[in-house]
Amino acid sequence: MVNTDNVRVPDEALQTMSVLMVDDEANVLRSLKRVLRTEPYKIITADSGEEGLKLLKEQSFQMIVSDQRMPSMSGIEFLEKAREISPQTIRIILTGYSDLQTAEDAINRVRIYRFLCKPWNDEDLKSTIREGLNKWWLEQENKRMFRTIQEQNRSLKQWNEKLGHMVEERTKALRNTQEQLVQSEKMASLGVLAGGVAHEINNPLGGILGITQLLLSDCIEDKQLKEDLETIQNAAVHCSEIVKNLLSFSRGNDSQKRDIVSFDKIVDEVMMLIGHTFRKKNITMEKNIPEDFPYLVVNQHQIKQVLVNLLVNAQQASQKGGKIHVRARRDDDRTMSLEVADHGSGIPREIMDKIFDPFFTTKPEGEGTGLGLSVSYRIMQEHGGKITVDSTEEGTCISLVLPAKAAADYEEKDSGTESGQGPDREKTEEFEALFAEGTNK
Amino acid sequence: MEGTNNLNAARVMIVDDAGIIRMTVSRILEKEGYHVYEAEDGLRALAMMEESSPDALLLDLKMPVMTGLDLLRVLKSEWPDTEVIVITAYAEDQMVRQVEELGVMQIVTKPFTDLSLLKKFVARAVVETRLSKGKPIEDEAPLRQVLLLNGRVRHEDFEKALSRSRGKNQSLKSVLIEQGNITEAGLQEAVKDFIRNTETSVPDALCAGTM
Repeated sequence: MVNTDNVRVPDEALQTMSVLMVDDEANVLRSLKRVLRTEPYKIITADSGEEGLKLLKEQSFQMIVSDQRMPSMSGIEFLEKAREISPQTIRIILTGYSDLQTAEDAINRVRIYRFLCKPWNDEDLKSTIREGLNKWWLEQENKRMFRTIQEQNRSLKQWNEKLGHMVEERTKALRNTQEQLVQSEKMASLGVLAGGVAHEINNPLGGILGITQLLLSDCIEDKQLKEDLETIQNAAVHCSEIVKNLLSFSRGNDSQKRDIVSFDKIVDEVMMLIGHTFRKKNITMEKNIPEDFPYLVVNQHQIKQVLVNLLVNAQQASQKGGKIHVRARRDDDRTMSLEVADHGSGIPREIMDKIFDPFFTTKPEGEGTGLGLSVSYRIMQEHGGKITVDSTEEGTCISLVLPAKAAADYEEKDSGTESGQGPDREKTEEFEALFAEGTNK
Repeated sequence: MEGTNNLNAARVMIVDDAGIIRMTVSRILEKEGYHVYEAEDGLRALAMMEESSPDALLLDLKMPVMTGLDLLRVLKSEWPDTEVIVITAYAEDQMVRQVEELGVMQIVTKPFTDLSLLKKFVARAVVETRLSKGKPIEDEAPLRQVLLLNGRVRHEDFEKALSRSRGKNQSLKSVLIEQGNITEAGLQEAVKDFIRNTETSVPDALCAGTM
């Protein structure tokens, strides 16, 4: 706030100010003008309250000096009305006659600044007017500053909120990164373990499976024995599936391989593989891939594997006769998304943070290995992408987000490669280099 | 082991450091009528090559002493006519490429989830080797695959001819012709068919299993 003791209204400001003098006696007005002619502010005179009010409505005054005793309208009445029109204006009564009632009214009804008596002392009059104008100026100045401070406060508050938001967002991002780090560490350590163990397990498993099948071909007559052997066989096949999935964790050279393939074609090939499980439940798959969707530069075996996982999950989550959507789109210049959405009952919130954990499964014993989503997670990571899950009670939508560099705007559009044989392989290698940046972690 | 007494039987060598795999493969292939040799590493396999002169080799890649890949290089330069099937627990892409470049048509992943495929692949390899070497295809293995799979000969006729051939110590092929089950030209046709229909493929990393 402005300190009123030190701050005086500057002369430039005074020069822009106007003082209204109201008196019914013309000689009083004249002599007032004469006394004040050297003052910087403007003097405007009126010979009655009515005239004064008219002027007030036309222009703004910083101060009114009014006589009290006037024929049609008293000074108090005039100033009271003037206050309604311009409450900021400083009001002074200059009167030759004063009674107690007038003084009371002047204070209560008019909120008078000063009560001056005629005849006036010139110097006193000048300094009173100056002080009054100074007060007016200070009040305006204070208000202005108050407004400025208020505005600054408001914007400070906004900044504060914005900062709070940013901190919140950063914290969230940090937490996400941390969660992903934890997840990828889980994956990495599993990968090391898996690579070693899988090799060791495959050999005995080969023995079990081989001999069991051999025995099965021998004992077709003995029904009970046949059933028992089939149980062994199924269990061993299940084991080999687990091992196969585990091996996907141990990073092989092939994870770096990239093919140029159409997503549409990948979906078709995967559906050829698992379509029968859809038909069994009378589930339809609706494909929505824009015609101009770019070819993908990915490891097609791995992406197929991810799609198989997602589609099998979606199929199992769906009701009979349900519908599953496969969509693709470019999000922006930086990413594109491949989506598999079902209308199942969604993933319960309490298991949401576990679904990517290796060996976590909600499926009945012997049906799932609990590796599908964790393998998919790993694969997407190796493609420089990620998996996001959006699940409500109305269904689950899993998005595979791939970086833009996984899109080939490649003229010689290739028809997809089978294990990258022949000429396709050379193309593949070209794109490997292109992609290497994204997969080095 | 019915087929093992027959010195004219097609011969297959399994090279794998895992005893259980050697034993399993032997059991499966002997049942098909092959004479099976076992070697537990590349060096032993090489030492046995002259004496056994196999029509096909099944080769693991990850072995001590001499790796499958090194063995493969020697085999392909010294015995270029002998077909090799690579069996491996996990086929990394780079490895697959190297193996393919060395002229291996068939890679099978362990464990074998489909024995009929394995039998077919081995028969195919044996047939190819015999054709390259100009040797006759006249014994139980691989004729079982060649003639029964495409229905050239009926199952009971085949079994009848098989037991007669063992009794008379005569080749299965000549008994089949004697019995009027097939002609020389028909057999040649069947072999061609068999090769055409037994497509080779490299393993698909795709796991169709549910998770």
